[in-house]
Amino acid sequence: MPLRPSRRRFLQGLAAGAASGLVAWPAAAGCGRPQARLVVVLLRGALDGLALLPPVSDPAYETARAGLALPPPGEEGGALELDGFFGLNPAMRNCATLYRAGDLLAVQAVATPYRARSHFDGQDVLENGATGPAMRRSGWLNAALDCLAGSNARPRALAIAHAVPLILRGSQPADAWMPAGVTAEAPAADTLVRLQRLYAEEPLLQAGLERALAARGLLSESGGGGGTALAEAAAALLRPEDGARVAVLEFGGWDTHAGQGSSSGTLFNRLARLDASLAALREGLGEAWADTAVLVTTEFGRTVAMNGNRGSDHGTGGAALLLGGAVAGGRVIADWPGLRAADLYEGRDLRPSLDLRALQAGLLQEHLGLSPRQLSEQVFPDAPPQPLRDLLRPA
Amino acid sequence: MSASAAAIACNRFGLGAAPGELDAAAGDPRGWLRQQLRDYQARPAAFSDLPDTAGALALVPLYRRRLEQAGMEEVGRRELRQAARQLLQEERLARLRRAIQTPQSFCERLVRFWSDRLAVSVTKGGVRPLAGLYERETIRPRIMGRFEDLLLASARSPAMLVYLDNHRSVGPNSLQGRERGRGLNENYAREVMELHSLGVDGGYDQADVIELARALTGWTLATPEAAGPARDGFGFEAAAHEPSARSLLGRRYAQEGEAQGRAMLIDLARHPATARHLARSLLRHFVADEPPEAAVKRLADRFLESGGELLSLYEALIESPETWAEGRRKFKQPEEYLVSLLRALPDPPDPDRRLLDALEELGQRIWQAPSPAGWPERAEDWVSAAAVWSRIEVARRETAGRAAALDPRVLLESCLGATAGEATRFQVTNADSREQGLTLLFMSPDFQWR
Repeated sequence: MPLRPSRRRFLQGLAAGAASGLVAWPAAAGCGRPQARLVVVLLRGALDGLALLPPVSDPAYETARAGLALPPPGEEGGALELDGFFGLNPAMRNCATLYRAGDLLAVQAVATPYRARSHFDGQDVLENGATGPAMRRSGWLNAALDCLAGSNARPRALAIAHAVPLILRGSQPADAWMPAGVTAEAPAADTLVRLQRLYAEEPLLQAGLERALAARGLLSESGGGGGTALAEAAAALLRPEDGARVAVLEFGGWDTHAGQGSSSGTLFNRLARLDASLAALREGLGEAWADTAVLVTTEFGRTVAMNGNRGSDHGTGGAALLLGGAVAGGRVIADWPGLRAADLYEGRDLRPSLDLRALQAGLLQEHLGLSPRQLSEQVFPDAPPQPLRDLLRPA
Repeated sequence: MSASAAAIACNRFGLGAAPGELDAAAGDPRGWLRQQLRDYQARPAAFSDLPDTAGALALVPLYRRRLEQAGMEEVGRRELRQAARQLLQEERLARLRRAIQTPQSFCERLVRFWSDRLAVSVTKGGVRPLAGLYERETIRPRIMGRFEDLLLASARSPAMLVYLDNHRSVGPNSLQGRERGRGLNENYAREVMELHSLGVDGGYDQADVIELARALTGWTLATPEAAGPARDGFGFEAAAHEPSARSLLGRRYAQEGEAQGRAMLIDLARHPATARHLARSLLRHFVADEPPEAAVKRLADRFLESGGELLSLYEALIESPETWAEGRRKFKQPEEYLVSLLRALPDPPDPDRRLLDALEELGQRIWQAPSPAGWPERAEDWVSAAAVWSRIEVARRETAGRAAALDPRVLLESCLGATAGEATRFQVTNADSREQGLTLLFMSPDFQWR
């Protein structure tokens, strides 16, 4: 069973840690930020990176994404202006504000080393920091904490989840915690939609499910404040000086195989909720935002072209966001591979031009002060690329 | 045999494939089932800490008072109720533990089948401390023997005597009847013919019910002095027995005392209508809500030829081609659903209070059937909006904490194998997370039907 103490007990536990000097970053960490907070947001289900960060000025964009493309900035339902080449999905208003304030860095055409298209395996690689799903049953974030754990200092890490996800599993202790009330929440609408498909030829179960859904008013897109509640919970635990230092949040429902929409619709609504959750995190962290970096990643991107159900299928290259007061933002990092047929990976996906591990490692190096050697030997064991530099503002 | 046969052996005959079981059954699914029958343990070690008949009877209020009159320590009503509830919980957990861990889950299904065909229910308070004992000591040791022995043991069991009131049925012309003005209670006599033997259309009438009830007067709980360890808790009270010869289903019974009811029950157990009723019940439980008549006749004939050996029924069930037909036949009842879900996990949890709460949420508390007829067998009786919803909740809850360590694709193969259909395979493989994949697997029609 995951550890699920009450919030009060949980906070008391953190305070007790403070009293015995367990929550500060070890002095030995050197070049990192002494008060650094790190949040990793895992978007399970493969977010469509081209919907998040549309290359609105690429001449091939409109054609390649016919049916899913967003209008250019300034037009109705158009993308929000970023750097003149890339835009931001119009659902992400708060993130656009953060970008203008220099607190948000967007990354496009990025991927883990994983090249097949299974969610489970892809998520394993996203979390284990290795090059294949079965290569490690512990997480890169836990390995990073392990590097930092001094004899008398141990930064507190937790997942706002029902169970500790792979990314935080390993030799260092990490807790999973869900705020009261959120646990009893209805299953994700996406799960229910998939169940409906599964019951298509199964009249008895189908009737039962439909009546249950009708009775509960589920599947409506208006609900779902759960993400905000989770973000607020994370902020409350990270904000105190003697609080947790690392948190992992998980959001599902990105597997938009059908009826994805563009300026409105399923994905737009989900992104709006993500945006609201990130805004809640920023709000809840208060002054601690200045010491915070939030990495938002997903297991892979989606096909460039729309599929036969007005959605997109599993792809390869995707997008990531890095935001926070500690982030040197206001820019997009992309070695843009292009969207013409010849540019695509296996003729269908955005070709990745950046190894996600370079972003993850760069963040750990600058934010938490891990050494290049620790990063390449302990955290990312399979010959990782050079960490990206200058991701963060100087401490 | 088809590629599905191993999965059918584990899931339709058994309580659900545990990891590795499909492989074990694959070579010879029928032989695998027969081996289970040979390896059957009537009294598994897991039950050794639970009380014997005397221990359980001491928690039945009406019996406790008699014990106290005979010198046992007095306890208050509330304490007694509390102790009975505690025992019931431990009995339920022991049954769940056995179901989740046993390598002979076909045998466990048979235990459950008989426990439910000859049902007692804790909806009646006095049954609470006795229901677990009934299954452990009355049902389990006799399911591989002759039906008449099982039926007789059930009739004599404290749980059945209390549940269907026979313990207080008194012959009007018996000594007690004449002295205290007490009388007959037909409850058990009716149900034993309608539910436990002949079946509702088995050719008996109200006169038969009364004759059987009269013959069974005096069948009651043992006196405290006689209810020592290793006894079954049954007592015959001659002073409550209705005297004289009787006739049942046109046959005359001139025996005196306990022997009369015993002879009647044995004849009921051997009756051809009983053979058909049992065959139909067994097929309805394992094969189809509306079992094919040809199969019913085949099983009934085998049973009669064998002289009422229950193993002949099971063997005929294993041989029936209907049992091995592919496709969705029976909808898992809630307890079977929960047990099969937990069995599918590589490292299932030890049952605790939480699982009993889950069963309540799913709509099936152990030994709490709504009537002496036991739990309903038809899919329509189990599928409702609330049922579907509670299964979603339970499936999520039981897998959420383990999702990171489980691969839904691996579990799909190890618990459904070749019986996983295209749609299930597709949805589970393409779920957006392990957690979602597990929910979809355990909510799939292929998993919920057997």
